[in-house]
Amino acid sequence: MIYNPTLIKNWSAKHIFQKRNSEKDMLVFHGSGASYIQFDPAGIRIAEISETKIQSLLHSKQRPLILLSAPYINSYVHETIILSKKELNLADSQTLSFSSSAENHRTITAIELNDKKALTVHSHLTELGIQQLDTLKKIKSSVIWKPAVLYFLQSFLLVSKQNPQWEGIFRIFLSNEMMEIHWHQSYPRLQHSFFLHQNLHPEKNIQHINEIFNHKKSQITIKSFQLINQKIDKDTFQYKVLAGLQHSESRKLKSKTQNQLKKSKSVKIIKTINRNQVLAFLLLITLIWTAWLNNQVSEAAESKKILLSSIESLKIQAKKLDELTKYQLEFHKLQALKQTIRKLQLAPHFILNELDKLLPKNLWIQEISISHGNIFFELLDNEETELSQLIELFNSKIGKTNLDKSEVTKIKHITLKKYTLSMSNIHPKLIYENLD
Amino acid sequence: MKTWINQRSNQITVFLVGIIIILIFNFILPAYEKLPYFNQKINELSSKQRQLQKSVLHLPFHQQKIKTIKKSTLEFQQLIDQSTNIRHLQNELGKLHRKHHIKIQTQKTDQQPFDDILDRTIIKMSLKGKYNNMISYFQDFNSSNNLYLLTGITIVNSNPLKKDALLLTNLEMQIFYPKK
Repeated sequence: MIYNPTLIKNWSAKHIFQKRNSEKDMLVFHGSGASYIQFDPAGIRIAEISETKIQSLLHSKQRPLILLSAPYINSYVHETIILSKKELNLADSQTLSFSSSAENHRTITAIELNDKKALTVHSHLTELGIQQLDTLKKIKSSVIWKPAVLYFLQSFLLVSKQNPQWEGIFRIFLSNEMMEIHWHQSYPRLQHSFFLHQNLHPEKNIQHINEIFNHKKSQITIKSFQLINQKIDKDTFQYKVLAGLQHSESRKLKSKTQNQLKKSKSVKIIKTINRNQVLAFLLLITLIWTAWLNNQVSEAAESKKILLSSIESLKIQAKKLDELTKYQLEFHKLQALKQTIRKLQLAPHFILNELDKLLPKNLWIQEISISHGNIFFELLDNEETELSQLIELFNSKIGKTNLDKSEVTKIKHITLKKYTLSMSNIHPKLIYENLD
Repeated sequence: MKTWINQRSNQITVFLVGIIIILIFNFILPAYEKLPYFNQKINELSSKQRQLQKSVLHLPFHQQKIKTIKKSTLEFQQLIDQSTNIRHLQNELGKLHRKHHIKIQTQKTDQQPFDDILDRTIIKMSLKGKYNNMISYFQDFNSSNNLYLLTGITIVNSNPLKKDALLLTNLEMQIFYPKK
């Protein structure tokens, strides 16, 4: 990279770099090599840099800004009126019709100077540039890059606006590219911008410029310049003025960018970011899901615990019911026992009263034996009583009656008839005390 | 492969995928296995809780009932104790006999098991008294609150030619009570 300190009167290259980017170092790819521009308190260090060093720089915390120049990118700067995006695209295809780069490898940036004029920078990545970017992205996916010419132009316009008293020429020389800006009577003038492709010899580059832009009238002489690590005789080269621009004091610098390349680059970045973004989003959902599920599980566990403790407490209370059952069972046993006794209780007075009612006056009981279901008794008779009628009466009133024995007996010298009778199937009402 | 691994975005991708897999296998899947178990258990416990709550809701009524039953059981138990106490038994029967002018001739008591849950005391008595007294005695005997079960009676007229005859009565009664 070359700049001519003798031509810059009131401000230095350090000043312009720092104004544009005070924190980031820069890695400039131009020609066949790369230059590393490093800012430190002492000043700006510019050095050629190897591929290994590039890798370590890209992996460092403060990644450098990548600036691409010819032959990696072809840039052309010219003054235009304010154009819409479509018009910028049209202008791009008309201005650089020779370019074979795909639309997504083009970046068009319009810097608005006032409401009528703008500076438009067309940058088209070359095959070499695409390859170089791919190589850099393999080292580090998130590479920040810009066309070098655009970067320096924006820097210059910004700084010159802040230093209206400055006069002189600002030149940017890269291995295969140059931009020159004249500053005259407090007005910056973009003298020309061109690209020199990959011709190795400067004279070939000049020839090439003439072929492309064919501006022969205005010529300037470059008195001195310096290439990094390479000195070239200052009187060797002459460059033609390709474009001029007079700035007024009131001009405001605005940046309006229609950046197709950036867009396509963004798509790629989004593709990369999208994967991680989608995963991060999925992770977020998974975390919420996990938290929700954990909450559900802990709520369920808590409910179970509460229910268990409630059941335990209810069980203690319900034990009293077991006690009730125990007492009830015992009571019912006793009650059943009592009821059974009551039901089976013989009531001899019932049967005696009934017999008393039924027996005629000449018949009386000598002996009676009452047990469950059967009655045996002996009757004494002092007359000849017809027993069949009586037995029938017993049958109907008391139960099935049989005459077991009939005999004659003497008691205290009195002759009496003695009947032995047995009864079965006694009417329950006559033998049991309590009946349901 | 090495280049792919060295890229920061790929490292982040691997890290995120790893965390998601860990979360799924360590938290989400186990949680989905646990939840049905918990829900089933909660349903069972809720149903059990409802049953218990219903039971407990009537507890005051049951407690009152327990008191009544306890009291009745205690009374019953006292009755059993009295019935199985020979001295008490003799006192009670003696009162009854005196009341109805009946004289006791003999009395024999025998305690023996009845079945697996009940024991019994068999009382055999010989009584002497008049017919009307004997009838009122039987009436009173049956109406009194006791556990005597009259199982067999034999009445013999000792003066068959007299109108107001003296009766000889052999009674067999049994007292049943739960085994202690």
